[in-house]
Amino acid sequence: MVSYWRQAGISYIRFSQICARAVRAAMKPQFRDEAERAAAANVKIVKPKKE
Amino acid sequence: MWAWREPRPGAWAADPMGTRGAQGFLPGPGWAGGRCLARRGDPTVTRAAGNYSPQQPPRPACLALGTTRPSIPRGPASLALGTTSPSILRALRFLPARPRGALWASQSARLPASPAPLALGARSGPVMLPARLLLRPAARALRPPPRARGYAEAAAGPVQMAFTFASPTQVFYNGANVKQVDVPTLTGSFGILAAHVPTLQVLRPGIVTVYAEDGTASKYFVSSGSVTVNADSSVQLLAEEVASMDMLDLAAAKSNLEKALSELTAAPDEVAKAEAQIRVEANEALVKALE
Repeated sequence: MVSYWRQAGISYIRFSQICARAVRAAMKPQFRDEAERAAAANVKIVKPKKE
Repeated sequence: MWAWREPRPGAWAADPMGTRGAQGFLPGPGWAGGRCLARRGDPTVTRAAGNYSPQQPPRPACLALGTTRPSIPRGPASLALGTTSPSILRALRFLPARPRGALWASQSARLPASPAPLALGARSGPVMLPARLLLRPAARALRPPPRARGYAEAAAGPVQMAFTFASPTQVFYNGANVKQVDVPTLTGSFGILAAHVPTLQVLRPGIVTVYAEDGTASKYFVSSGSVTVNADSSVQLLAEEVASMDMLDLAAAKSNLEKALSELTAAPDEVAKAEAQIRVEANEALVKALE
């Protein structure tokens, strides 16, 4: 019914990240670098300074 | 029903048609659940008890409908049934008079020669007739519009699948016309042909096989994602990480699998155990795909 990872409290997003990392780790080296670069987070968090 | 609220000064004077109702705002007090309790041409407007202030004059029109009509002379039968429609009066002429309450007796204007209503019960207001009796024959002849195609019915004419398959970095198929797609989902693997039942599925690590029009099969390993089959036979397969079979390394997959298995046995808590289990299953799928 409910998947084991959902029961343990892991969301599908996290499941997807873990699977993607496993696939990237099993790639051949020349393809792995491109994949790692593309998959790096492209979100920058800037906290406004309070004055 | 709303509680009594004092209307704005001048609300009555500014509103000669009585569209605003006793409370000074629309809809009028004859509304209950969106339906007008008063019929057209009713010389009175019904109020729930406590909702009517004696200072306000009773309006000569139906407040909820906001129209005035010349008053239709009412015989005892029409007063008893609360309607002047001849067809309804003919149909219901054998019914006894409905008991009415004191509020109805005091508020409703009646012809001089009409009999007093029975003092049974506390019911006030006109009789609520079943809606089907009030429908005109023409309205009853209206049929609901024909429904759209149900899933169990066959698709009309030849349908083609518009297949879109992409990862965040690359598009493999974009509205392409393919014969069949095999997808691995969390609930099992299945093949999608044109005119497949619309469905939404979530992918697990496995192989996606695309059979083109000429029969050639292309395989891709996907890590996770979603597949959408729409009613117009368009299929969208969006994957997180896609690798064609020649980009993967069997030896690396095997060593990763063993590492994940040892992590699983050494996991301290539930979450770490679940994460290790996910890694084990992903690597198992990789090994199975590459062998």
